[in-house]
Amino acid sequence: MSFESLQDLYLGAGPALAPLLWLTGGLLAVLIAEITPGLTRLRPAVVPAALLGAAWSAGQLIAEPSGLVLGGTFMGDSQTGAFTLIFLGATLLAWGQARHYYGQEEPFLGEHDALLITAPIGMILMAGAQDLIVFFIGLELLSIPLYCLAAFRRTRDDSVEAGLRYFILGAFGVTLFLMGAGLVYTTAGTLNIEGLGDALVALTTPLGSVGMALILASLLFKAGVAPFHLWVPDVYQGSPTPITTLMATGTKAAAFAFLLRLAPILPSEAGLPLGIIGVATLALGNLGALVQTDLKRLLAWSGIAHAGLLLLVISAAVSAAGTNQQAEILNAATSALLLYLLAYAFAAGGALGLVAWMEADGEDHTQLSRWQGLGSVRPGVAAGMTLFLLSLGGIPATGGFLGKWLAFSTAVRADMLPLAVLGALTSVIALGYYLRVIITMWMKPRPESWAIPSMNRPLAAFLAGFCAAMVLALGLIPGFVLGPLF
Amino acid sequence: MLQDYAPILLLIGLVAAFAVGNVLLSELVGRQRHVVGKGDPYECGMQPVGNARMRLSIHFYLTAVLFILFDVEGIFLILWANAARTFNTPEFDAGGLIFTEILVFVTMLAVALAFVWRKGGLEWDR
Repeated sequence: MSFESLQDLYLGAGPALAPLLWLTGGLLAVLIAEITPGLTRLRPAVVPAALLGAAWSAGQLIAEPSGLVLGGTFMGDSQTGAFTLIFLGATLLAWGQARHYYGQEEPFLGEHDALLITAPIGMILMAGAQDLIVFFIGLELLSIPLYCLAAFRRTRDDSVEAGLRYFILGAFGVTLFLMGAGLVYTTAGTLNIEGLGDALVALTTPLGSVGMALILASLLFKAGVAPFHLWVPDVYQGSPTPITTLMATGTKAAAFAFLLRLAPILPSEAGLPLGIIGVATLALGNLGALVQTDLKRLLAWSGIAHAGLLLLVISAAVSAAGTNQQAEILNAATSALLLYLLAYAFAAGGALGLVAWMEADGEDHTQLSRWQGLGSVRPGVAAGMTLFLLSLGGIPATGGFLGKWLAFSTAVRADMLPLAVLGALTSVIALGYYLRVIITMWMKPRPESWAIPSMNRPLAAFLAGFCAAMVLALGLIPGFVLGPLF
Repeated sequence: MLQDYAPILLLIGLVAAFAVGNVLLSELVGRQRHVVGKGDPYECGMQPVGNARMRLSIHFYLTAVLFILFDVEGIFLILWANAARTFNTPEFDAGGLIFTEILVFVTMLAVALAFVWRKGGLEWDR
């Protein structure tokens, strides 16, 4: 880059970077409020203000995309903007669930919020990255706060174990990415995605293919796709439930956002293996969830299954590379992914929110058996959980159905009919364990001796209600909800 | 091309042979005397006492993390100072921009330092 272009570097980058600046400003404000006497009380206002400000500027970015900025390393298009909204929604959900989760005597709540607001900065960088190094910085900005947050209930062994496990395996994942990026740079001589697209021949050499495979492996690790999924159940179960929400919805969305950016530059031969991995993950996740007795663990396994389905969408976009349908299928895959992730964020976030809410009455309330007969004493909570699980299962009239329908139709359009049929059949297994939870809540009698959960938390009730409304709205009137976005 | 690396391979072989050879040689030729203490772990000549699984203060860890934070700041500032002069010429006229950039960077680290300070991260005796 020449010196003259230094000012050009920043020209026009403002709108694309505005969400990042809002969040960074919010992070600094949280830190300053935490150490200034008298301002500590402001912290609960700073975090949602920064998140909403970032969401507003992401909305501006969708309305007026600014294209490639910062020397072609960051893409400020409507896709980045839409993914940003998902990340911010996930963070806001997690923050709301965490508000009364830890108990007021818990120390380090300021640090908790500071770490929580750092994670979406990394996610946005991942979604908009046009350069492997920018992506790497995003990956680290996302991962390091999550390692700490996973272990945030320091007095509980399972939480510390979750943090340590996530950290060690995550470090492996990041190392895979760096090795892959090194090999790709060796063969292609660039780390820029556009440049890699031009150097496609170099990427099909043995060294380049190994590099791309390592990069894909690290992304699949973050997304929790088989065979890199084994950390997911333990980490999701051990982490504080609000952090599980953030990991399940935000991290997964961020990894798939970058996979979508990589899809056009992957050789089309990679499409079929990716699709097979996706369907295998779908089957494995659903089979694993069948035998779970802990709700968080069950949702973790179902999250693996959802990641598998999303990978099927990515594989459809990859296999269409080089054909005359490429742009069309990439568009279809983008909207399928966005809608799926949006519906998933509200359904999984809502379900985990209800678990977090119930946990206030005893830590063993993550156990499915403790939800027995809940419908008779807290019908609202049971009905919300039913709606979220039905959406995760893809029942019509919920957001999950629309997402699944778009995902499978994308795969069919990319001539992957056998895989799509196999995937659809496999996802029927999912209804088995979702219905088991619903049956436990509504049809099993509740033991007389059990106290009725107190459930006096307006914020948690509001969040659950909002998620339920969004799940229904996405299923019944998607055009009305998504119209302004696409 | 690979033949260019043959000397390195040779060197690796020689080094390995030297190390293994010396140990083997002293094992074969040397006199074996088993005295008390010879099998103990070597701890700078001290007698090893107590359990190895003792709890250590993590003060050093905290200090090391903080050191890295400000170490990186130092590296960045030196590089910036080297480049800044070039940009502050009439030719480029980017002095203000360059200064603002580093100001943002230093402000962030200053907030981090203030946070660490107020939270007692710099106090040794706690």
